[in-house]
Amino acid sequence: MQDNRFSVKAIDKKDVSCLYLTGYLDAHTAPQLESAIEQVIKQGIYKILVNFRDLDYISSAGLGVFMAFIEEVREKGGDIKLADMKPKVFSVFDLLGFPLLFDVEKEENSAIVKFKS
Amino acid sequence: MKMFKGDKQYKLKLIFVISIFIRIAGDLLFSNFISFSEGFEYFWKTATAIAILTPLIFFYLEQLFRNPISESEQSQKDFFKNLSQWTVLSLLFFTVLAFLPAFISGDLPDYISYLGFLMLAPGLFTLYFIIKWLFIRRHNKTKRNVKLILAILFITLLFSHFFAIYKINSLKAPAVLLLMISTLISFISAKKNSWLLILPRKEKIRLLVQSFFGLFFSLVFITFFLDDENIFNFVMHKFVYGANAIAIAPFFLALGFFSRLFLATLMSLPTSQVLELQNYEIRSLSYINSIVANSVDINKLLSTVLESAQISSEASCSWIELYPSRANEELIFTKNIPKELIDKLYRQGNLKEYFSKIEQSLLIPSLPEGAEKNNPDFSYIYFGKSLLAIPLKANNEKIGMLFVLHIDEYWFELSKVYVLESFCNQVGIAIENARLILESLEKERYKKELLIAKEIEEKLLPQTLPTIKNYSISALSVPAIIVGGDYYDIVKLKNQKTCILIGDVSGKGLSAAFYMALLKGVVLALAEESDSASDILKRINATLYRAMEKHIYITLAALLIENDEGDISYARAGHIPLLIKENKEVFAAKPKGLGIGLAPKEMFDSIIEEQKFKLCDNDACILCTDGLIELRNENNEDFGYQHLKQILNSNVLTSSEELIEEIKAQVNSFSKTEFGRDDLTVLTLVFNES
Repeated sequence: MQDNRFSVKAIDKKDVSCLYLTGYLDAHTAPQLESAIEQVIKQGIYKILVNFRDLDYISSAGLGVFMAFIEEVREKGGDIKLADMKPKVFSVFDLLGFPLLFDVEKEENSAIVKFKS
Repeated sequence: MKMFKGDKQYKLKLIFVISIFIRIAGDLLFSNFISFSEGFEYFWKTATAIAILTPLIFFYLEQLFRNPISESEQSQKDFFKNLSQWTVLSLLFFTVLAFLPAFISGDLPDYISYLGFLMLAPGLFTLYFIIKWLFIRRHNKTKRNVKLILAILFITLLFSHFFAIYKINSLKAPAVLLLMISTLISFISAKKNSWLLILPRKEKIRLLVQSFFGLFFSLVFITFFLDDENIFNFVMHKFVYGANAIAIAPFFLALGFFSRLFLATLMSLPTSQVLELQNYEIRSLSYINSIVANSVDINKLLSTVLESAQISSEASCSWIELYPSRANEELIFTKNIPKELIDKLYRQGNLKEYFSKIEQSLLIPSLPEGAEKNNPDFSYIYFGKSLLAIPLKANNEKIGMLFVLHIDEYWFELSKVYVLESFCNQVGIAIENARLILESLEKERYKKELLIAKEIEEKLLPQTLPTIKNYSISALSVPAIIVGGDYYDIVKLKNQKTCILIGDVSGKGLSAAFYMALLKGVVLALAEESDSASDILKRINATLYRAMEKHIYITLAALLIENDEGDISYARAGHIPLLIKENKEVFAAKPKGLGIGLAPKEMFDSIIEEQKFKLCDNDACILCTDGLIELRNENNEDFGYQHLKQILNSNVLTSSEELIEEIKAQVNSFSKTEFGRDDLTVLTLVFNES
């Protein structure tokens, strides 16, 4: 069942899979993001970029989704990079100390560049 | 009234018995001692016969009109019994009479005639019985027909009487003709026979036999009557001239009545089996309904369903398969066949899929042929030669299948299929109902358990807050609608300093509540070993990292009261900032620190910072969870930090309690509805220099 408040769109850009999030990411919609990331990993793509441009809200359960996958992805030589957050969303990540664990970039392009380096 | 009636009957019986005695006494007297003229003999016989018959007629009339309509089926059965007894007895009587040597030699004594009136009783009873029966099942012309019949009987009686006295042979033929008309009328009148249809087959056969005997005896008596030289007529005439007509006329009616009944029963016999089945269905359905109403035991329901299905289709064995649904697991229930066999039948999954696609009833009349084409798995039920599978539906959705199996080929006729189909329609609904009841009960149970969990969680939070010299602490905790992950506690560390902890487990509901309980335990265990705000957080992370699921983390903050002079230290593990008024200046303190469970010990420990503050008189702190900050009102606005900062800025509020009350008031005026509110925790700490 698709939740109207939230959607994920995946676009592959060369070897990086970009996930575009829209709406509200909370305990109810987190499973949608979870399955989207699972699908990307199933395809053997471990370079995942999450674009937050259209995401309005993220709750603790939404943050948990990234933690659930980061270890596995990094073991496989990839990474999950986060980009283009609204200030309010960024402050949630920031308070928790996420920027110390994840690459949080201002723009999508700079994140893609970082994947190459 | 009843007393009176009883009295009346008693009088009638008395008159009857006395009349018989007078008749016997008179006959004895006249035949042995006094000679009398023929005219007197005629008068004597007629008068006494009327005296004997009148109470008898009144007796039956009384019976007839007492409760003419509301006779039960049972009393009708009793009628039949009485009627057959009477007729058999009188027939025996005349048969014995016919072989008496005295009669054969022609020397029959006169007094044998007294026994003639015995024959009147079955005649009158038969008349009474038929009229009563007609009245019970009457139609608009019954009354008229009965009047007609009685008129015919009266005319016949007169004819017969005069025929007997004056030997007028021309009177006999019209009498017989009239009686035959009465036969026709009774045949026509006995037309309301639809009640026959619903009788069980057994009852119908019994009725068939009874009506056949009625028919047979009526014919026998009528032949007696037609033969003038017969002993019956001889005896009857001895009693009174024309008595034979009174006795026999009812049997002409009975002939019509019993032939109609016999024919109707015979005609309804072939359909009786189907009707009986349907009758059984109706009864079993109402039984199923009562079970559904009285219990939620689905096994009991299914067992009843299978039993009913098996009886109505006369199957050898049966089973029912219910598909898994939202709240129910797959269920296979069997009768007269081991469940393992059906499990095996389905194991390949092939057959299961085949059945699951069936939307209409499936009849395989000859299983080995029909089944092999579709699936070899049928070999598991090799002993069954015909199979009927009917889908069970509720709300137009297929919820399962009912199967009946028989060891003979071509067992399930179309009529059985139809009956079982209509039965299954009800069963589907019954099962769905039982499931819904079960589901709501289960929900109710979960609800209760959640309430218990909520109660326990509330008890995990401090029930009283400690009093600390120069400080006051107050707390406000609004639990979520269900359980949540908010946590706060006030503990003593190794150095006996008081530490305030506030935290929030990621996610919602039961999982958050469980981790909150885990956190409480870990804090209790580690507090005594820790000696600073950052130290306790480090220890908690070291313990809980890897102990929690990957996607779970906890944000936690620790505020340590260093002394009673306003020195405090603060460390933060991913928790939202501390709002503090230090020396009348309000700001948010946000020392570096990762959430608990995010990173291993080395990384966590290397990042976490501790900040120290010096509170002056009336300086205060607000520690809260994001439930308060993210509280959203009807206009889609967040509560945020602004309100809290304003409250801290106020110089009027000088105790932690006042601060809490103000926060509460602001929260309530900010958001009117409590719907969708997350759990929310606020702690206030105020320093009052003594």
